[in-house]
Amino acid sequence: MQKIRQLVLAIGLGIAFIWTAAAFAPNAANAFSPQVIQKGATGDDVVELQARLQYIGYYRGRIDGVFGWQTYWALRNFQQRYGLKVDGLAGADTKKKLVSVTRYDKKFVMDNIRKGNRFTYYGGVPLQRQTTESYRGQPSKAGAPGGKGGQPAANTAKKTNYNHLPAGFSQSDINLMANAVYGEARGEPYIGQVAVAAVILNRIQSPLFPDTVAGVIFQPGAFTAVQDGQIWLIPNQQAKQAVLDALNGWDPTNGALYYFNPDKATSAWIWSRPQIGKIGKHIFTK
Amino acid sequence: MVRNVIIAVLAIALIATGYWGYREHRDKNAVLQHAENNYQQAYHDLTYYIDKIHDHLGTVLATGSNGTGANDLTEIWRLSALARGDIGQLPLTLLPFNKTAELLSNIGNFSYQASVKNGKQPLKPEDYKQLESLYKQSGTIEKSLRDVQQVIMDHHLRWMDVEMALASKKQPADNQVIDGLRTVDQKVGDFENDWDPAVTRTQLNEWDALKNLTGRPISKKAAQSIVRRFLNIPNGKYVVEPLGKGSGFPAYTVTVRDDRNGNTAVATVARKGGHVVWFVKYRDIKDRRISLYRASNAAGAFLNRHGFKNMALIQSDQYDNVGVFTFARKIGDVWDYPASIRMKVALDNGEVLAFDDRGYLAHQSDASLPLKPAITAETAKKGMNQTIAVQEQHLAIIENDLGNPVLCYEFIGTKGADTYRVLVNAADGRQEKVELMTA
Repeated sequence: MQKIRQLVLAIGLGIAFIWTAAAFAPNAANAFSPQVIQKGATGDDVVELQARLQYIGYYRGRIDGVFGWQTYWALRNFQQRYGLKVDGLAGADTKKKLVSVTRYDKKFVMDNIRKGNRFTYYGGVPLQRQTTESYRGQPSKAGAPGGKGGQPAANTAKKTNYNHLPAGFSQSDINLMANAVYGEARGEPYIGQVAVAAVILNRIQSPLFPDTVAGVIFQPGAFTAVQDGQIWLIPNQQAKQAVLDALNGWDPTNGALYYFNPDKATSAWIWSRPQIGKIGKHIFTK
Repeated sequence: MVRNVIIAVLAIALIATGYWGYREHRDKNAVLQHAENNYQQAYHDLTYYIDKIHDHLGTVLATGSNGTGANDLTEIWRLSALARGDIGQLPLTLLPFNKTAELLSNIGNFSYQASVKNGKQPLKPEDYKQLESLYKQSGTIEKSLRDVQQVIMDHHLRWMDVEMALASKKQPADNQVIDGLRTVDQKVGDFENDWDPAVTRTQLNEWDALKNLTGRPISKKAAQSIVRRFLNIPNGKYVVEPLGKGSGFPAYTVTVRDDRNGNTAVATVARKGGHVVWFVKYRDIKDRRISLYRASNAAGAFLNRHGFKNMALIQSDQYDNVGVFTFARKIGDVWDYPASIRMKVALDNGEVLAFDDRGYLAHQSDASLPLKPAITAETAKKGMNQTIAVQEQHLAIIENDLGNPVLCYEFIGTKGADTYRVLVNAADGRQEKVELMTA
């Protein structure tokens, strides 16, 4: 009787151990999604691609989840070295090869990204030595409190923001423009918000106005929202998207430099400008 | 007793209110004074810089022909940027001061091109003539600005009043500062300058290039059906409006509210030839179901479907749940960069959400360029920095500083962690452009 009970216990423990081991095995099952990853992409797959390329020394840049030029060259060098088709695309063959020659500790990498740590992921170097002090202080327990296993990683993946910016503009430029657009045109349809952002960009191009985002926005008298402080309201997601559209080259105003609300008809001079068209409540002019 | 207490309380309240009011008043004045001082400084600096520009223009005229004027020209370039910065700090947005700002910008570009880009070569005779004219013009502006300055100083005028007057609805008639600056701008407008296109060029000129489109003019009705087909919105509430006279090219703006989902789309269609110049659809994109790669294929298929053949994907970028793609026309094996089309694709179902082909439309004539390079790629490579390791190369058409299309060898190379794009003129091996690729 005693022996049988011990045997059952042993088997039970054994099964439990196998399950735990399977749950915490680094990747095998969840390596890469089936998508083809190309330059310009952002996301968890790009993080994994960068980490794996770094693991075998091809990628020496920051693991940030944005597929830029450095990742592109690293990938091509890898493809060349392993006799794959050199196209700079991470397709099925390339990913399979990468998975077979590297290891990926998803938890280590994603935790560091979420916490904004500076870290690297070179193979053969202890992970503790590749991350900043703040991370080393925390015990690296698998899973989050409550023991939800793999779930936290999936949750954070959705929340992780990969900062991909249009060339030539910083995050603060975009934020400042989003503030201005929200302050000036939050009641307007989406297209009207893109239009306001486009006017700011057209002014930067124009010799008649300052040459920087801040210069144009804070020019005295240029925007009512700046004068009455509404520019400091917290912009919503839509305003940010409108700014991104304008930065990416969309200009619903067809090249306007001024706009005004005819109901609040400010100065007489603004009425004398040659008009292009009306979007929402605003009339846009040259 | 009670009465005395009430009186005492009221007296204290009165004194406290008085003190509070006095402090508010004092604080408000301090803030106003601060703003006023900023305006004053900007204006005084502006006149000073224009003084200096005038002086340096005079000096260049005296040194002129043997290349020693380059120092003064660079100084003019710098000062004109500072002067423009000061204009940007004055409340002049609603005041016609445009011509002065524009002249300053042109003076800056001109002196930059005459000095920095020209190197040590002597000034060309036409540049010399231009300088003589600019010397006179800046002298006139300088004097007019000084006159206004004098008026401000003599009458203790405040820029705050200028700001208020400009913001008021009725035309401000009796503000001496406004009148004075208006006169300055009128005088500038009277000058006649024959600027080189390179001096006055901005990216906004691309809109004006659309007036050269060819094709039969289309009606409002036709514009509507073109958009219906292009955006694939069979049933919706369509509104078609012609663009006003401020637009650089004749066109219609078509707004449509899709019956199926209530989403709005806006498009501009050129009247000549009925080309769709751009459109933007807006809807929420909740999740990401397809990859950037599949989205780029969807964008390519859209182009094919609408008759844009031989387009090469030259850039792709993912921003959360949308992909933004740039395609360039390929003429044989030459990449025609200015003839580009930009598209935004939703990453939930691959729908094309925005489209813009004004570069493609404005650069139809690039195809008639001679596309045979005069030098080989090897020769072209010799002219560039040898520490850049070239990874990719091809022939490309780019727009140079003068706004003309030129055939170049494009080399994409790396140096350390950075990637560079070097463009070498395929006719004479001159380096046209070097760019650090950040995205």
